[in-house]
Amino acid sequence: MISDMKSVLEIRGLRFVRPEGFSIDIPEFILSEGEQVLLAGPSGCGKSTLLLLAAGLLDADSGEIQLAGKSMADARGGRRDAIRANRVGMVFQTHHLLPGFTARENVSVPLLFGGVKPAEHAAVADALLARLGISDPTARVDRLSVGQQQRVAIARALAADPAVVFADEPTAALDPENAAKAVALLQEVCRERHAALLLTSHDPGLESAFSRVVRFDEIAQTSGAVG
Amino acid sequence: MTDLRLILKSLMARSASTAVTCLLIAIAVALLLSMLSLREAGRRSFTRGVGNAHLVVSADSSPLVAVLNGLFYANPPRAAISESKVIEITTSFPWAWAIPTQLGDSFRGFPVIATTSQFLEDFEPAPGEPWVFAEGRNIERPFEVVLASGVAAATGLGIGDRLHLTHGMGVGGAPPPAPAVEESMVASVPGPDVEGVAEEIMDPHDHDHDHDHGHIHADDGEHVHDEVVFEVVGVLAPSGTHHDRLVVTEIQGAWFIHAIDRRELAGRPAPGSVEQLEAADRLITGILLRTPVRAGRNSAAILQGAFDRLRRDPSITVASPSTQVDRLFGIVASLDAVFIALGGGILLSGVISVMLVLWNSMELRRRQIAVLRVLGCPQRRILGLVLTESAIIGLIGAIAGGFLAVGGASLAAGLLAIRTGVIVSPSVDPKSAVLIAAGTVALAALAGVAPAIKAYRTPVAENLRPLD
Repeated sequence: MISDMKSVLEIRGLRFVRPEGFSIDIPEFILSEGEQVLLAGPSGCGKSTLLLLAAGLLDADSGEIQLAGKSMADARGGRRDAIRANRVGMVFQTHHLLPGFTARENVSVPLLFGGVKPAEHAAVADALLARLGISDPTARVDRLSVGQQQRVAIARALAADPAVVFADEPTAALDPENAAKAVALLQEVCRERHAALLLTSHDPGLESAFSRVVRFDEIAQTSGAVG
Repeated sequence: MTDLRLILKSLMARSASTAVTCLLIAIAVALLLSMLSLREAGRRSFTRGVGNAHLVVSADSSPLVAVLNGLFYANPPRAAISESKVIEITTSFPWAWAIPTQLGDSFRGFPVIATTSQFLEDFEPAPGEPWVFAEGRNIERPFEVVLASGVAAATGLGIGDRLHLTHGMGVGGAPPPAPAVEESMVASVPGPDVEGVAEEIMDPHDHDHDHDHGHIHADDGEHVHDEVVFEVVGVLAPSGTHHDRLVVTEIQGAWFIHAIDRRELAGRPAPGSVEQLEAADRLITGILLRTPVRAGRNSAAILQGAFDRLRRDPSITVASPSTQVDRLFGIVASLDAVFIALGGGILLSGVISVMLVLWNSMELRRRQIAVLRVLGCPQRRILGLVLTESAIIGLIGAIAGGFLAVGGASLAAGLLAIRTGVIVSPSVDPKSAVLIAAGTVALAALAGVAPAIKAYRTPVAENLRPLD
């Protein structure tokens, strides 16, 4: 169901083929501004590949991806990186925080690449971390609990005020209770900051939290194994 | 957050490998700087140590050897100049001063220069810096000695202490580790132990033992002149030159102890006092000369004229110390080049190790690089970050190397002073230091090119997969 709102992500006629033979075809997928969508599907079906394509981290063989009004096919190299730095936030299952860096420093990195003045980094990062319940922004991330690390990862994804947050199986390592809490928090802060959310998960327990649930096989045809 | 902070945090996260790599660079830089520093300091020290002597005359085989022996006390001269020749040289020209010297003895490895009181009055150990007495007075009579500061400090001897001299210059010029009691302080009056000498010399059986008679032998055929006691009458203040290792004694006393040796070998009775010395006993191994320097006169031309006239005499060798020092450094220049090439080689190997460490770290940091790319870092910026990281390792290494060089050069200078008496004041030429530091940073940055390209090419998607 496509709303009247402007789209933040539009995928049309997308074809992507890996050298080892795995391919994805997505005739159309649209995510509206501020919309929160659960992309459901079993592990290894190609959900993560779709997010990487949408973020411009993989090149499609054909088709069109519009991210926040910009064509990812037309934007190459640094321009594509600039779109990602300013318009996209990403959260991963394993957080991918920078080890040895503090929570504040981790949250500041996208601000650095997003062109925000260094003098403003600490204030932005600290406010976000406080909102997410991290009381000590100077704590090294490798000394935080898994739950705290995930909240730092969420803060980092939202630091540069993105138009959309791609969350790739962010709850896969959590028990159902904590998974529900983490997703609720992510949805809440995305809503507060007017960022759309596209979250992939193989966990049916999360479906109730989303008003729109899209099954991967409904929008994409795949062949071969992801590998 | 800034790029620099990102790099520094990344380096700190791998502190062990960063430290080792920086240390490798630092050692190479320190080695290069130390060699350059010591080379310059050594040249300065040699030039300074020439003092205010314009010419050195000896019977050595070459001018360089004459200077090394006569002014730097490298070895005892192999031949002596006769008294008549000395008189001829010293009176044939209106020298500012002419100081006869005799070398060949030592005390605990320190060279003994037998000379006149003029040596401590007119000869300046460094140009414009005459000798200064820390205590006591100049030599006036036979069997008196004045200790230079280094000897006094090393032996602990002072005014009124008595000692025996050793025939020979000591092993390699270094002070022996455990001096024989007999050759250090003795409790008798200065001058010849006439009774003992006479008794020993009159013992006919000992003549069969070739030169052993009446002497305490040291290594390399050296022996202690234990027939005669010398007394310390003065101690000199440090001059900051190799002359601080000198024991200065009155020349007639030295003639006397050698006359005993010679007459013993010839089966003749030893002289009873310096008044009994013959012309053949009064041997000189060198003469230090200074031409008069007067305002309005061409001193260089006077010196050249004196030099040319002396050079015509085939029985002596005349040398200009400053010219010979320049020649010496010309000879060792090629050796310098070898050492500097070695230092360069070590620097290169340090830089290669930077490349290897960074290359391996790129393998381990693929995930981190992928995350930076996800967060919007362009590929070219990744390239720049790694190159800067590499250059920073070079910079830290260069700075640490500078500090190491100062410490290392001081240590080497200390060892040099102890082993050879050559006093060098190592200092790093700022221009060389900046050039070496800049070169090191540039080389280190160059070493980062391959790892940076590897980082640049790091595939993002496959490095974001969840860890097993």
